[in-house]
Amino acid sequence: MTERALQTAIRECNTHGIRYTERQLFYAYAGQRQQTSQVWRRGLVGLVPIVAAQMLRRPAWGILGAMVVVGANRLQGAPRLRISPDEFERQRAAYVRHHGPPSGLLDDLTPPQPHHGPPSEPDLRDYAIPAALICQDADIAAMLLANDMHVRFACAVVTDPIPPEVLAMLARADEPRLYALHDASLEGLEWAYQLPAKYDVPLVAVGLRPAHAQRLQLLCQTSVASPADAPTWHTYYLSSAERTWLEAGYRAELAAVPPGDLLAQLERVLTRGAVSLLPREGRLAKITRLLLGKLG
Amino acid sequence: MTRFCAGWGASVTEIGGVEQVAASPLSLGLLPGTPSGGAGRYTQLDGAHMVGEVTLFDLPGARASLRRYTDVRTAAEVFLAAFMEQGPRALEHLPGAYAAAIWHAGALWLLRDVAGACTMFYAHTGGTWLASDSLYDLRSWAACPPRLDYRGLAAFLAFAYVPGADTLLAGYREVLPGEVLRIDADGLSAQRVGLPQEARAVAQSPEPHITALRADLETAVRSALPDDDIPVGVTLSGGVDSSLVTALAARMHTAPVHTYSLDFGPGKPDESAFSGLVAAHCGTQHHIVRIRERDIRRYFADTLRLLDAPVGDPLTVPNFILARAAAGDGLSVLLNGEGGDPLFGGPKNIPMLLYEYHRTEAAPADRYRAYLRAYRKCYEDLPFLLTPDAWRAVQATAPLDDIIAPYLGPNHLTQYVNKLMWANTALKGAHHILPKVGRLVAAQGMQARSPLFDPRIMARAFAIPPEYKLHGEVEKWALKQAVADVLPPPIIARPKSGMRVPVRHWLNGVLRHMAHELLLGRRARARGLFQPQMLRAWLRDETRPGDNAGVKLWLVLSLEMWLRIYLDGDDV
Repeated sequence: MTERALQTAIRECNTHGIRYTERQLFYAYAGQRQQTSQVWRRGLVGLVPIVAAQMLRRPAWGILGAMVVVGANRLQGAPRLRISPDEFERQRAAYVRHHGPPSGLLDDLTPPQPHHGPPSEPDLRDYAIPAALICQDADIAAMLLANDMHVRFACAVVTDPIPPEVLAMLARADEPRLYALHDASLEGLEWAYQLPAKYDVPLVAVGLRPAHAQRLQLLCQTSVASPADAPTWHTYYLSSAERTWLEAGYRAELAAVPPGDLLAQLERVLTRGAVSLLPREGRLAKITRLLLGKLG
Repeated sequence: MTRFCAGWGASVTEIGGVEQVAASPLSLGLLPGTPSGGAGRYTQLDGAHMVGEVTLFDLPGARASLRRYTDVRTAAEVFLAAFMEQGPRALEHLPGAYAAAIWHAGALWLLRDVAGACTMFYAHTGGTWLASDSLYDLRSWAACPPRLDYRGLAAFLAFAYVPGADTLLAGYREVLPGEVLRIDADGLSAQRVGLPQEARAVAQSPEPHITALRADLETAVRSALPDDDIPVGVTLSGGVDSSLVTALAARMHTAPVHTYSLDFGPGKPDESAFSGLVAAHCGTQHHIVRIRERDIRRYFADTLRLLDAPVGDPLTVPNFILARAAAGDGLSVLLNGEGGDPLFGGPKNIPMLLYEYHRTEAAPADRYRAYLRAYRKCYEDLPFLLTPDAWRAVQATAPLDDIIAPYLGPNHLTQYVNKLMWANTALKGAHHILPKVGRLVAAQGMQARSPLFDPRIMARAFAIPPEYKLHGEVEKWALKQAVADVLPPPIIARPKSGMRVPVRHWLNGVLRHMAHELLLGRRARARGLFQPQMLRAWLRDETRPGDNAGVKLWLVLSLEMWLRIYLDGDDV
């Protein structure tokens, strides 16, 4: 079952030839494993009212009861990451022994580096670039470059600090934009919040926010960071639900977003003017979410 | 409606040609009555013979440049005389649209104009050669039966056209723009002329460049206009390029100027506000050509039949319908604004600059492959799209790198943006844009003229410093400055958008049955080129983020229809 989970995770990460990081594969694997165990757990929990109803000779109550119990089970807070990196590493090593390196896995990540010395072409830095994507996580930046985000969407991909030549090229643009990609965590929000003070380029913080992690049902970790140490929450323009989520110690890494979804949402941001990583929501899905939110 | 053909060791009669000169081993002939248009002619002068199609943009100037043959009159005679006097270098001094086969100095010469407005194909087997400007006719040569060329297949899927000397038929080659081939008893030798030159002394201020460009634009548009009493048409999208051609034509031409724009119907992409604004500003007689979905199905095969190399651009059939409408109005010349993007800083330049900035690999081939990926067609899909057998056959051919290497690799150009411009004009310009508009318009009995691909404009574009073409992030800055006084300000300020075509709507509607048959039907499966599950995923609109599955499907559809006509011999 564990090997099948890893195979499914590799296939999902590598859809359409997308390249991905080990951390992204870890989350995909954990998602597969936890989804399987969750199905079993909900099945068992749902059986209880059905069996009870049979004993009371009220089968219809059983089905209704099972739906209520399973629904309530779904509303239980954020899904937590329960698979350890060690377990994943063991499975990955076993997979490599049998099948070779996972297809599309970036095993030699080269994060974007500041370019010192003369450019490869003399006029390379004489022009303007309209946008740059700054990543909190260097591995994510390397993954975006490996998937040609910069070529496909005319956007530089950088980490902090931004190389001066990129800043110079942004400064030549009429309406430059800096898009920030960060984790849904105290550190990630703090990092994004500091960027406007460091760089004189209009910033679009596209995510992740806690709301994104909640909506996307990302696997979260809990940290021991004390909310008392946190900066003033209102400076991040967080909703009360997001603050509650952070205060509860939750954090979600950008690597938890499936690689294909991350690229698709960035495409919306970079070419169609969307301002966050959330996928467009259908009307029915929105009503359901609001109803479930009220129930929760 | 005549195309031309030539043979060395083989007679043009083998492909249905009517022989004009038969002097073993040479054979020159014409292919009259072809539905694909063309104005092939036979010309002789002082022992030299030529079949070809020749339009010179500056006939008086070309005639004045002759030293010995001062009494020649027609464009074909002037061209042949110039070639006899100056040899292959004549192409550098003769702005025009031409392709020709010349028997001179004991050799057969095949040549094509510097921009690539006219086409020329050739094949050889066992020391014999046949050439023609029509691959459709040439492929009937029994000595070289048509087979699929797998490198051409990979190139088509990567570019959406077939660039370079390859074609989709094994053994058949295309003459490159500005290339002169000499065939004699020793075999074939090639020479390429008219390579772009950067300015040696660069003016600090942009004004002299902009002033000179404006003068060249007026000269090029004036050269492209028919005689003063003959109405002219212009395809007008409302972008800067077609708008500036419209504006200059309207200023300089005394007969009516007709403009034509596409309309895909209610709720579909619509640029009529921009084209209407320009038409009103310039006082043209404006026509909006409604593209009905059933017409796409009706003319799909006819359009592919006209193209010696398929083009996977969904605008191809609408272009054909537009040309029909213009011909219906009795026009003989249809101008267009093609060329502005590749020559003055088009949309692939910033992505390629960013690739170069982020590049960590030192191998030159990585740059070429990034250029292929920047097309955003099927290059990255090839291993998944092609069947294992087809993919193995593609891998057994030379990689596509050497198509791009002459332009983006080390060469005589020193500026990266100029290298990109050369790649864009020599590849997309000469193998997609110009042949496509030329054929679609010629099939309606008209002549397509692309003033922005005039060699004088091309020379000017390379002489302008790159930072005035791509100025900051503003593409085509110098071009926009040069015509800012003749266009409405919203047209100058308008960002490049490209004509959006409702391909997905077509595929889900009137083309649904045809698309499924062409993509997944018995004949397509028997050909064994594509993985059906990949095509089904595209039909469900599942593809790599940022890619357009509809555009990819259109590319494969066009290919399958073209193969049925050119490879299987289907009659349409």
